[in-house]
Amino acid sequence: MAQAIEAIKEKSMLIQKEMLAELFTELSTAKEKGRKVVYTFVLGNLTELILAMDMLPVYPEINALQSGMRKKSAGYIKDAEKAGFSEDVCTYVKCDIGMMLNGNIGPTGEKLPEPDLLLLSYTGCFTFMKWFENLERLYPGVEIAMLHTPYQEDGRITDDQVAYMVKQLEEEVIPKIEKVAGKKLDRARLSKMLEDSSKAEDLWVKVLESAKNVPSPIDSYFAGVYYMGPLFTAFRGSERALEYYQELHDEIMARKEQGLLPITPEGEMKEERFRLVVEGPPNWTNFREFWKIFYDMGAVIVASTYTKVGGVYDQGFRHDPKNPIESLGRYCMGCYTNLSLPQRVDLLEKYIKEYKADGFLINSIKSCNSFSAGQLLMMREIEKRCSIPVGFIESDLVDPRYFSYANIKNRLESYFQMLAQRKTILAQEATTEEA
Amino acid sequence: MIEEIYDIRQQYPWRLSAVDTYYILRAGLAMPVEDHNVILEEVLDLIKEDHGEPMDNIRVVITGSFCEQPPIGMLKSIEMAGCYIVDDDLMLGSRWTQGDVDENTADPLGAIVNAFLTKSPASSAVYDVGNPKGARLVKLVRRREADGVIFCAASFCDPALLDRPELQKACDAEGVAHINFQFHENTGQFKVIKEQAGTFSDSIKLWV
Repeated sequence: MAQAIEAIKEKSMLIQKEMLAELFTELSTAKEKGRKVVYTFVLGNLTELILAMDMLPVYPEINALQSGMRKKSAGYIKDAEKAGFSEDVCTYVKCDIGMMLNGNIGPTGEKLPEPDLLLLSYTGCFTFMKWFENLERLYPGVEIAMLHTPYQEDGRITDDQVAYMVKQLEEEVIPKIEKVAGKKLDRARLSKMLEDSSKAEDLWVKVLESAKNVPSPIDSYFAGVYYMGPLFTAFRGSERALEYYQELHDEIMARKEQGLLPITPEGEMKEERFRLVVEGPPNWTNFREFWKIFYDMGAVIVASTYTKVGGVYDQGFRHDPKNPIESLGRYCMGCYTNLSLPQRVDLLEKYIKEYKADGFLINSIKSCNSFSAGQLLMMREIEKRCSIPVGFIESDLVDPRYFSYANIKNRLESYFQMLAQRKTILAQEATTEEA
Repeated sequence: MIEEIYDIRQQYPWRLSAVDTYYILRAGLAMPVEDHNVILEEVLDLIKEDHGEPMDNIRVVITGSFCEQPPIGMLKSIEMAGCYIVDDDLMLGSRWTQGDVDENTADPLGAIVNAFLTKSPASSAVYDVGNPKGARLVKLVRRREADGVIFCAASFCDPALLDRPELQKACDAEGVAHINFQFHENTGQFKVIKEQAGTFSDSIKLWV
């Protein structure tokens, strides 16, 4: 088991920590200061729209994952189960509901304000709708805005889908936000924010693509979930986010220049033995233990799909200040969880090839149907297309009952042995060919 | 005719078991409506006649937002455990449009869309906070004079499972007894389900 030692943090991580602390402080005083609060979700979020109206966003999944990392989720989940929630449903939902049943004290210990608006722009996850139904019952009469995001059934975004999204945004969502905020949307301000978003997105993509370097200067999964934070949540479109990504970018590029390996909570990695692509979210309750299994074995995640749930920017999408509303609609439809299964497999294949991965690993989440459905098929397809070893482990988002350290470690160790053996065989074959 | 079958079964559930009812209705999904209607007429004639003996069973409504159909063994186990299933939400998809689609229109596609929007039944897949689903369930229990509710959704169906706290709350508030279990894909063992349903039935017979 990992020792409870103080994690080593990069400067950008410290900046992010400050940003989050400020946000939660702002949230705790929102009502006194007359700020309106919007509960919304990470996937396909409309953060610029919220910030442009001087409202404050709250992301229930972020609260849940923070509760998981701070070892509070087990109690919250039990309380939700006592209230009738099944052991099989999304643990983010149960953790969030449990937190609310316990006074809605946020991850930093400060009370979260009640919502003035529930803004549902769900993307590829039907559970979000049911989550909001449950929130509406906890806050009866709260204003609700729904944005129905069409799934990319045919593997592409059609003109009709774009028109449908724009119509909903213009006729339903924006008027509802304006009603709650008590003022009209300043479209010039929104465009300026989208311009800043786009610049931050450019920097984020450069950070992600630094992992194409051998050795990779970043871990695109375990560190990636920190790096993606500001862009995927409450800060996209803000100058603060742009500053953060500039700092992160400069840090990573400097590391790349020097040939340094990723920073872990126990310092810099010394050896890159295996390069992996990972599908699925991480486990949050035992995050550091989970990560440690990888860095102890010299395994670096060079690309992951989880760091695309808030936008597949590395495939070209940018928020467009010239077409703000259409751009927001396209953003929602383009997030990873809204892609069809064949699109996801194509993307994984591309990552494995472009990032020179030795292996492909799936962390299947027990309580997340929208992520887990189809993963076995993905595994078989990738094996066929890429001829690399694939691994499969199971855990959960924030329910510690489903993180079995010994089982996961055993399985990963076997997987790493398989990767090592394959490397040896490939090296022998290469030597024979040369001779 | 289906509604009439349910109405007769409400009064005389021993005349046609829930499993047989399910088979008959499900067959309708695999044959022309006209042919199925003939069968329904025959079934109606049969259950209008008095036959069979009532047993000391309780009367339950089963609910699980069944887009995915449960194994027949589950329904059989509930019945064998001493429960008459007097209403259900099985084969949700086949009941989707409630009422007729407008035929006198130059826009048939629009009529189908309109029927979908305005004549869809209550479902876990529909956001309907303005129309409390708990109250609807209690109303159904009262109409069917049921003794209790069995929640038995698929373990992988988040929409149904996330509705349960609300439905359960409404049942508690109205004094409607209820139990819960889940079925899994390819569930083959029903002993636990039978024991749970049997205990539920006994507890109602003994103490309610």
